[in-house]
Amino acid sequence: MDSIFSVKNVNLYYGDKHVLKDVNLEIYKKQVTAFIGPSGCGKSTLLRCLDRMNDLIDDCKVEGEILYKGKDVKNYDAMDLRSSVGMVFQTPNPFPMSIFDNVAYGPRCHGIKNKKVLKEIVEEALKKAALYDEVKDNLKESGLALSGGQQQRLCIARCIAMKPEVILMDEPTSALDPIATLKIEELINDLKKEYTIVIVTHNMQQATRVSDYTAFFMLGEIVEYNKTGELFKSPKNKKTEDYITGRFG
Amino acid sequence: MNNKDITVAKSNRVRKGFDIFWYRLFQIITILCASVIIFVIIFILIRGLTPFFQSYDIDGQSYRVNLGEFLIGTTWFTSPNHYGVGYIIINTIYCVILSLLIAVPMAIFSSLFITRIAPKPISKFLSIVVELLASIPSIIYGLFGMGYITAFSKWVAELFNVQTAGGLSTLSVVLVLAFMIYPTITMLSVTSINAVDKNIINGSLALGASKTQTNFKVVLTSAKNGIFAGIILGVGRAMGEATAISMVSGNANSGPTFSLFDITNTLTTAILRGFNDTVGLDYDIRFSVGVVLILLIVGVNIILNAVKKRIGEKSR
Amino acid sequence: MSKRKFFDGLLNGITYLFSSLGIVILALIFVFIFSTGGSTLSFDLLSEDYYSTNYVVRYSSPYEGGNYVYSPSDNEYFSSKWGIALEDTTSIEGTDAISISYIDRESPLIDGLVNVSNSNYHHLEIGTYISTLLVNTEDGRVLSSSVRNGAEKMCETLNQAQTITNMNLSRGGGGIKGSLISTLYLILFTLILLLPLGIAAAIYLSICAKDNKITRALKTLIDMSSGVPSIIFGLVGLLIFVPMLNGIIGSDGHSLIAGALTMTIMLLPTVISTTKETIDVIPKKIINGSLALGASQTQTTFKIILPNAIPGILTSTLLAIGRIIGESAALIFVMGTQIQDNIILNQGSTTLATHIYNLMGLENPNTSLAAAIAIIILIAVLVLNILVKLVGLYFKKKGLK
Repeated sequence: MDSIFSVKNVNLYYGDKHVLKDVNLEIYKKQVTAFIGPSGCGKSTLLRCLDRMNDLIDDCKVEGEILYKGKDVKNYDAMDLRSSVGMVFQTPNPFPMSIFDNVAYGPRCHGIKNKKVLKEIVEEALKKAALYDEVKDNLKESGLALSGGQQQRLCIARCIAMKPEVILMDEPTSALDPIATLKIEELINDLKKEYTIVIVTHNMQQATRVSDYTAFFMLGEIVEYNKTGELFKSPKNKKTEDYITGRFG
Repeated sequence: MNNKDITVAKSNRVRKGFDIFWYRLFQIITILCASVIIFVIIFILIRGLTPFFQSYDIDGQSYRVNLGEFLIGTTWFTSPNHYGVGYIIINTIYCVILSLLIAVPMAIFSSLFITRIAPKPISKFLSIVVELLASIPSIIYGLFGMGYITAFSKWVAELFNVQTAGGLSTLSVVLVLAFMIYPTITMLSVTSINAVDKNIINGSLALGASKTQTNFKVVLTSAKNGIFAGIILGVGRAMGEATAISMVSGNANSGPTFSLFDITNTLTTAILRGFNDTVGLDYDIRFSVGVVLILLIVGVNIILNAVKKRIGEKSR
Repeated sequence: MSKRKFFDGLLNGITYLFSSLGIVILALIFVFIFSTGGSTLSFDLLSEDYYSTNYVVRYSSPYEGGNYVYSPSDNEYFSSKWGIALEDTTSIEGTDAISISYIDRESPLIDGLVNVSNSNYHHLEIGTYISTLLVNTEDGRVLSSSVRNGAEKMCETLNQAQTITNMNLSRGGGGIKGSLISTLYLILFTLILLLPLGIAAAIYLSICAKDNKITRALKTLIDMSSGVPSIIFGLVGLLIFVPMLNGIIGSDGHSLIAGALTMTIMLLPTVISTTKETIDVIPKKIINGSLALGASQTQTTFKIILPNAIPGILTSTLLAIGRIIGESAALIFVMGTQIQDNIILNQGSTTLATHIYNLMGLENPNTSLAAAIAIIILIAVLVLNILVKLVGLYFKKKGLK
């Protein structure tokens, strides 16, 4: 299977703190990869490395190689990389503007001005994010007026509008209620036909429900990485077994 | 690579250029804004020190100001060119201290009243009054001073059988200053009293202390750092105030003045009054007074901040 | 227990007393300003020039006298000989004056007076003020009268006159149009300079700058300049801007532009800190959201940060306007205290506040006009205060999550 990201010997430091220790990982195309593990284990940090959002933190230092489509992410232009690798955050973060403007924001930033083209992009993105039917009559309304789950799907639509290849999701459902969570999970299952998805989650049931591969992190190291079914059914490592059976974490 | 990727790559270079351009522009502007204070100090220092190093030709005679005489001098005459600022410094400090004696108790009691005692509508009304007082420009305080406060000073002086120069006096200056810094101190005190931990207050009440005892013993001591910060701000405002007090001071040419009913002179009024020439000693010497004013404000601030630190440490 | 109650009561009493003092002071200020200036405040005051136009005129051909008819009202005095009525009144700026309230169409004065300075005939209009009058009677006596004697005496003198040797007339004057326009210009030019600089610095400090020693030093320096008294900024403006502008815009000493520059450096710390406060509370997740979509820093700044900083920018604009209207000490140095009617950008002029300073520094301080201007300043300050509150409330209600 083709891998789209290959993480090789990555070490990451915040100042003096060693956050990621010698991480190696392959992320495969059009698959859902889940990162699980206790809080502070470095799973979100690795996710942010993939689209270089860690650049925004002043004293963050990354060693090793992260190859995206065979080229080190350091050698990409950050803006290019981020338009091809989208990101959905822990809490929904729609901009304080209309639904339409929220989705059109990315394409506009990349120089698309034609109204007709923008409208097509927005509609398509909203449809793919399974939000179109709910908001098609009030695209001019503020994105902040939507419910939490709708806001998160709006953020996903905002990502999709950039026509990315990879979507990174950082605990996308942690701020949502069970029904909204379910909708997002269904959406992930739809989206994986077209996109590569990497999802960080606290919730192991969610990992089993949505992902094809799972990586278990602890204290900045990858303890085990395997197909989701196998990892949960027959964990090879004792720590993994303890974690997924709920003995700690 | 398809077509879309190429156009994006192209526009990215432009966008990056913009990023660097705006970043640099904003950086330069910020450095410029921050360097204003440096320019202020340098320019005032250079011009203010000139009178002590350069001779001026006045009516055919060469004249240079002696720094020592300037600093301890007790007269400010423009015509035989004797500029002494010593008495003016004393007057300034004297007036500020007296105005604090009036404004600080007023402010502390008012802030307690606003935060702890008054029912909500009255508290709100008083807050608005204080905010309004704070936003009234100094020229209006000056006008009010020339109208009512000088008349009041005159009336008080007559009670003591003392003559005043139409009410222009230390007392008028002190009252105008007190009224101007009262809202400043009050607003900061209100903020700091509001920030006092409710648990401490409840703890005091639970011990059987009365509400008033709690207010004065617990609330005020807990808020004293903020109140002191307000006082420091008030002192700064009082020392830098110019127009309002120049209208009621009487501009004394010699001193120091300790009587409440005599005319007086402060550093700011000395700079402001009789400012006509655009060259020469009489012009340059104002900048020397400016230097003295800056040094005085900085000095007083350092002392008061040290005191504030001591108070803060003690309470810990 | 009763002793404690007594002390509590005493302290509470003192608290009530001191707190009410603030209200008393504010009330006194309002009473003083409105009672002194209220009657002087009028629309004419705002629209009229400060300087009156003065004429010295004479009527030298001996005049026999006519018999004009007019029924004067209470404080009017009619000269049936010359056919004009005089009236005791007060000028716009609130001083005593005698004005011409009626001129008969046949009166010889209407077009017969000769301007002394250029020997042209002077057309007399209703509303003109007469300040002094010097006449010759038929029997060769010289009589004089002035404003101080009142309209009745002036009218008597006129009735005995055969020729008018010298009459001082003035029209208009006493208004504050010039200072009002000067204040508005000053606000405009200061804001044009101040806002871009202040907003740029605020964005840089709260978004772009790395948190290091240099940034902290810049912040400290900006904070420090907010503690500098305005009179010092005035001195600096005089030292730097006035000579600099003399070379650039050809001003001669004081100028309105120098005032705008001085106000700009004085108000920068306020604008920077107020704007920075609003930018600091914009949620990081929104900014990161924009960057994660591949938007550049510039696009994020102009599309996300700036629109969200509008409440802070509005508030700082209103605060700045208030400070400009009220400022006096600094402006006395860089704009001078010379009242002007025609505002020219490279010349000195007075704002409303320094207009008051000028009036109160005169030999006979014109308190009523000064108080009338003070009313205008007070109302402006009040309105600005209310607007600041409304801006705060409006955006709080709108609530950015």
